[in-house]
Amino acid sequence: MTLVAGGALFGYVNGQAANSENKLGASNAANVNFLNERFVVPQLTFKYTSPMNQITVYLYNNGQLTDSFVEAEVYTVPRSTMDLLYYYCSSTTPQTSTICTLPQAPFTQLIGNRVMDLNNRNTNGCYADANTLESPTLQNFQVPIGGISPITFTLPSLAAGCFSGSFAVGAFYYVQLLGQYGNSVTYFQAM
Amino acid sequence: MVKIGARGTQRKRRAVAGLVAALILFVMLFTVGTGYFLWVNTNNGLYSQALAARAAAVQNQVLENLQIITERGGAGGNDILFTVTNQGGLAAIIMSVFVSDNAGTLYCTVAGSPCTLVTITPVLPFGVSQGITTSTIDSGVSIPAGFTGTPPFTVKIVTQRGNSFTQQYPMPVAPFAVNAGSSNSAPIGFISMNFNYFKAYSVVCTSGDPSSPPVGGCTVTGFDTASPFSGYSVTKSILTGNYMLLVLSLTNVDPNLRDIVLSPGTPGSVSPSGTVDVQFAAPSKGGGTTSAAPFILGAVCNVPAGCGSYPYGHTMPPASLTLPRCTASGTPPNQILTCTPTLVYFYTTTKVAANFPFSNANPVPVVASNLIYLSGTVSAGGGCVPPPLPAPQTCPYGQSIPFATTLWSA
Repeated sequence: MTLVAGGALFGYVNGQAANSENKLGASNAANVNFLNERFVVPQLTFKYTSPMNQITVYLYNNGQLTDSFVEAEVYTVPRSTMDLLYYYCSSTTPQTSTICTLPQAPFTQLIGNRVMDLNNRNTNGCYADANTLESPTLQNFQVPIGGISPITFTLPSLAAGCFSGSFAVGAFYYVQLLGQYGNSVTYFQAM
Repeated sequence: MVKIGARGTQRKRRAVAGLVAALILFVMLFTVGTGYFLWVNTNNGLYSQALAARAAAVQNQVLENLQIITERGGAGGNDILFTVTNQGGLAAIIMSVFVSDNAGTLYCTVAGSPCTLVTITPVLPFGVSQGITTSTIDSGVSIPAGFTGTPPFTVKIVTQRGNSFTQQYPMPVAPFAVNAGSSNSAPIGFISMNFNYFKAYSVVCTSGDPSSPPVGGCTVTGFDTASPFSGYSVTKSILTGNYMLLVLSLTNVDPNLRDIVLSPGTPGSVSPSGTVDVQFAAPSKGGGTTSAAPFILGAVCNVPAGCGSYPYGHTMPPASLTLPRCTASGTPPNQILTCTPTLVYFYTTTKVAANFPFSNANPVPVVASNLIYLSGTVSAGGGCVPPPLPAPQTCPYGQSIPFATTLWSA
């Protein structure tokens, strides 16, 4: 009886320990990755020829692991003029970007690289496929350790009532990038 | 009949259940527990290591401080060059360079980006130790013909730690705050300099020699009627081959109400011995030497306005220049002092050479930490300080006024 009970207890404890180790390991890995993920934006540049609808962000990786990104927000201050979120929704869970888990349909159903007008996030049509608006796509964009890589975002053509416009010379534009492990960097520059 | 009691048939059993349970617990402790402990310990070690590395990285990032000096030159004499001086506490590595002309064109070395690719010489990355200035770096960006300096180019370097440092070409005028330490509101000594009035002129010399003493043949073009240079931002290229004139506004604010007489220096002599001059103490650069370019006191024209194209040496030089004492009105403690500024003119005794202000061929522009050395005598009033030396008498006087000027070439 003691052996049976002991064996059962042993198995249970062993399972619980393994379960705890998995969760602790995942949590710790997230923390360590967060600490090792570092990047800065040293430069922005715009497309000055018509249509002036492109912004290129140069990212430098001063961290200890390859940088990947899940969100890039391009906006003005105040945000009412422009607030565009380029993001990547994974087909697996947990989603890489919090925007992918928002309850508003149809965004939860969208997989891949997207761009959304955050000023009209609840308006149907104020989002678009961003595969042709990102170069390279956010999903495939990586910055190696010690490297500088550019990513270009093109302003989308959205439905009526959503964002429309282009970059204006003399105006300040902000870019906020969210790394896959949670680090965020904001940079702004006048066109 | 033999009856065998029940106790007789029972075998004796030891109470081992507790022992087995304890054994199982110990086994669990030393297998699962130890494994778990080691796992947690390893994870904690990794986390601590990452945390320490991040903290160190942030700390080191703060300690980085690089100063960029931009200039013009290169093989064709038309490239934007720059040097980097490490003024921080750690060695730094320059990973990338961005040059922007503020009109939409970005020059960089990042392949595959929309910038105009340039070749940096020497090849990036390279390090800069603490306190060291790099040799001249060629950005590979050519200055277009007709470039007037506005809008300026912006040179940005990115370090391995992720910091960015920028500088403009041409370099901006030295901030006014740099000169505030010796402003007329807080004079160091009895002579106050009005830092709002500090002009530089290019002296055109068609013939003759303006030195020892200046004689006719040289003129100050557009003197006080045209726009002079700011003394804080001297365009060397226009001055090169000509003589340079600096105009200061000095006021004698001696509370003892004594005259101060500035003594002109001997042309060619070195300050501060018995001379009044301006000294551009150019910073050492790339192993170059620190040098000075003395400007000897001269009074070309002591009329604040209307000098026009004044014959250089028409009424000069005076043997000395008196900064008159303040005049007092009223009675203490309601006494009011009225002090009158005097314009004082300094001119170079030699033509501005192409390598000015360096003794070697180091190019400009530079932000030069300069000193105006004033020397002469104080006379009358209370005599020398401190008493009880007999008064009146003439006492030696000396004062240095620090300021900063950006020397650049258009």
